[in-house]
Amino acid sequence: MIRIKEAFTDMAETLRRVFQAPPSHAAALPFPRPIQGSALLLEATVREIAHRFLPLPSTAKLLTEPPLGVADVVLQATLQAEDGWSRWASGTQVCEMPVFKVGGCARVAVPPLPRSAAIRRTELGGFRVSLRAQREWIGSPATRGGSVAMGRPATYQALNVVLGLPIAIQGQAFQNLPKALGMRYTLGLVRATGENIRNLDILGVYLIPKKGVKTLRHDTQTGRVLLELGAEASGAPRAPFILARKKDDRSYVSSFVED
Amino acid sequence: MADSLRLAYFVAMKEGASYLGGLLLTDTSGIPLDFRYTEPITPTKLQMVLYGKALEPHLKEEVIQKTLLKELKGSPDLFLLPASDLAGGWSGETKCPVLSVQKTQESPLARIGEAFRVSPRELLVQVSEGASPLRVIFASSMDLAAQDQAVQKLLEAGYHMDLTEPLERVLAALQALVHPDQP
Repeated sequence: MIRIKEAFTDMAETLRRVFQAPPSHAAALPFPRPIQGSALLLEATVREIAHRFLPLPSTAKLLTEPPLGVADVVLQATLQAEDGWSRWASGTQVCEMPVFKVGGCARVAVPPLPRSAAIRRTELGGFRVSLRAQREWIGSPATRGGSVAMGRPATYQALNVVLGLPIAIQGQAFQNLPKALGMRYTLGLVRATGENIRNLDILGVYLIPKKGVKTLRHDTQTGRVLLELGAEASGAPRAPFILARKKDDRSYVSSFVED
Repeated sequence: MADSLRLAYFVAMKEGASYLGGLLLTDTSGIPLDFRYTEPITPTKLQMVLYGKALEPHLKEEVIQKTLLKELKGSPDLFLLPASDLAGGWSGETKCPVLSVQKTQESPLARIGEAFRVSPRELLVQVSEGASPLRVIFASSMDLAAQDQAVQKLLEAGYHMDLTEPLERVLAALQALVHPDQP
């Protein structure tokens, strides 16, 4: 155990001496110039086999000869000893290495690496955009107020125009009237005209204005009377008007009758 | 009862490039109570382009008809207009029933007052005895109850007057006003 400690001590001393003053050399280690080339492709060629198997007839070797005889083996005892440990202890040689001398070399202190990289702030200049004022605007078109709304038209009253047109009045069928009413109407017509009832064909009873009737015409096809009215007819009260035709001369007779 | 009914007949016509309308108010005998007409309205070229097909209905329903109704004193009981105007979808606003009455060649119905429903908006109504029934077309805004009430008023008026004839009078009056020189 003591020997191992001494061995380590010796080795430590050796290493201390070796690295006591480490020389510094400028190592010129140029990188070898890269060689540009190309690798040859592996080519496989087919060749014919130069040898061939030949039949070789052999004969078995017969042990016909008798053995020559066996010499006597003599075992001789010798004393063997292991002296490795003794030789290891005595044969150890300490390598005496020449001590490096302090020459023209100097200790080069390796500057410590900075703990943090220096940051240089570079102000990037902003992009400059030059503005050019464009004043050529498209002017707004002039608007014109064209109203499309339909205005209220003026109205006029022209009742006289309509009253001047013939107005068709539908008559009541005389035969459909109640008998008493028909007799009363007939009596009124006879009294007003003085005609004999047997000479009259009753055409109908019409409800027409009591006043304002300018002309009256009977439409034989439709049985209606066509009236031309004046302005006073509008709103005037209406009364039953009986119209008859004389059988002898085909002339008309008429009369307002009591309702 | 019949005397209180007032029937308004409305006609709007196109004369050249102008539109005008007339409204005749009659009693149940067809006697005119009032007649008003508008001055001719001539739409500009811009209005014709912008209104397009809506120009004529707008003029008739919104401009002419409303103006004439506003001038009337009181509201009529029935508002009658040509069937062509009503068939096109009348959308004018009136406070009274809007309908159209046409003569037909149909066979007379059994009795006066009988009605035959042709469609939800169309009826054949026997107004006078022996004559063909009248075709009555109602505005789409009228429900069945309103149609029945209008038919009763038509029957009351039709007892004394020809219900279709006043429309011809309005048209003739407008023609006479537009062309006073023509006989």
